[in-house]
Amino acid sequence: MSNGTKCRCRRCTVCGLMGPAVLITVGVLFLIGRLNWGYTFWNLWPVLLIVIGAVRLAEAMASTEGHIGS
Amino acid sequence: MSTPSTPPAVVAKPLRRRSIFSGVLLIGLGVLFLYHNFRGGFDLLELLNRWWPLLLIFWGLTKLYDHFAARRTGQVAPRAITGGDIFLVFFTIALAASVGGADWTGRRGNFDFGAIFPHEPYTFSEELPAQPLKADSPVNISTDYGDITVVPQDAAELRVRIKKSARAGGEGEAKRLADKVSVAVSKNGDATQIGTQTQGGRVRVDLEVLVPKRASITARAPRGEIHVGGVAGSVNAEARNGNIEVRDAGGDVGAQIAHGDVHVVDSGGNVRISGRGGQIEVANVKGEATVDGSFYGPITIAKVGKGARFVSGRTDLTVSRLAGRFEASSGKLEISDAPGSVALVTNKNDVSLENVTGRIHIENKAGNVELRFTQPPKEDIEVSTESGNVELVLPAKSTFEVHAEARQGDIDAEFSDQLAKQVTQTQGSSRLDGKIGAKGPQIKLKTTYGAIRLHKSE
Repeated sequence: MSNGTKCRCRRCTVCGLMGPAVLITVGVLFLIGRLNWGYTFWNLWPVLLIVIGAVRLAEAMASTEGHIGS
Repeated sequence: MSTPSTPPAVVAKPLRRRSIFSGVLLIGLGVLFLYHNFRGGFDLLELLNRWWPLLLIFWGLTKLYDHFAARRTGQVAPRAITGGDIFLVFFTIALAASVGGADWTGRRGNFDFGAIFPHEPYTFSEELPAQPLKADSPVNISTDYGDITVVPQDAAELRVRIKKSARAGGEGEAKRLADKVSVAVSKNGDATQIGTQTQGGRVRVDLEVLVPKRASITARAPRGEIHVGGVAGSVNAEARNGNIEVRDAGGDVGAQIAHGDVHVVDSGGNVRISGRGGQIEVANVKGEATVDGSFYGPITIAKVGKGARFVSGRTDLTVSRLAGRFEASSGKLEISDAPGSVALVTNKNDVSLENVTGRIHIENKAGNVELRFTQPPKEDIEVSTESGNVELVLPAKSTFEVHAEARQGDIDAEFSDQLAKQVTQTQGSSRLDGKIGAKGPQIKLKTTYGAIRLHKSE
């Protein structure tokens, strides 16, 4: 019955943000490197760790109320 | 009793809680590496070596938090240790070790961004028309990306040779990129400025500047090397990622660096090196030499007319005259042939002094101290360390008064039988108060965990 239904609980929503967040961050970091503001991707890569960490932390803290599926 | 809304069709079984461990650890790592990239000044390998148990404690604490948080919300607690966690811990250690290891090889910061998009670099050379320049005028040179080389010449004129390199898919595009960048020569009061304009990060501009011999140079190359040879004036060099080399300068030399090596050889004035980086070499300086900052080393300072000073996170050294050399490499400080006084406060270094004739004051925390004299000491000596041995090698004809204390160790005064008899021992602690000859300097030696030895030199 729940087949094909997407879970809309908070955790699953946040979880879905991981991919886009990582892609956007990588894009922004490389862009900053191209803009010659004095930074390069190789200076800024730890920002990526922070973003991944923040999403994972949000996932762990988010409520799973109403979670559908296993 | 009726519920305000219909219950969901699927009864949600209580879901297992996720651990906060990975999230918090990744954020922490990110902040640490960002700080390292921008401020630096600490050694990741040493940090890892010393503080790794905190990782386990932190792991445990987050699991504890997970457990209680799950109980509070009625969820199933996360599994204690998952494969992902173990992977993350190894990932952390490997990352810190590899970034730290890259620091050691001194390659950090020299990474060429273009290497990710491997295009052929095309180079274009040009030379600005020579212009007259007063013999002793100051010259300021800067390029945002590229090397600076300063060459002295006899003629009272300024010449600028420019080499632009641009990475692009084709020569036409590279030329277009290179043409957008220009090098301007302008006057600013007394000084002549040579600088790149509208230089993007893709165009590298190497500058070779020929100046009158007596010129004073200020050079700034945030992403490149600086070489200055043979100018009679002062030299001030600021590089961030490249090396600095100044040879045969007549005046004062200043060098600021963030990653890279500094070599200053033959200088008529004072030398001052500051910042962070790898190797430091200072030799043949008429004035004072100061090295202030965190450098991986080895750091060598040799033949300094006036005093030499070395200040780092854990070491503060002042040598009033240095005819020989000072070397600091991992865990070792060595000074040889200093016809003046030595004052040193350090930690975690094995210290060795040879042929220092002035007053000596050494405070070490963890590490051995060894003093060798070729002439009988004339000035007072005071050495203390907390854990480490203290060893003194003196010529047979030395006269002195000695007060030595090894709180948890032995004193071996094989210098003379008379002295050896004066060693007293109480509950593992040894003391020696003695005198050789009628007149002589005071020698005070102290260690808590370690031995004290007094030898006679051959």
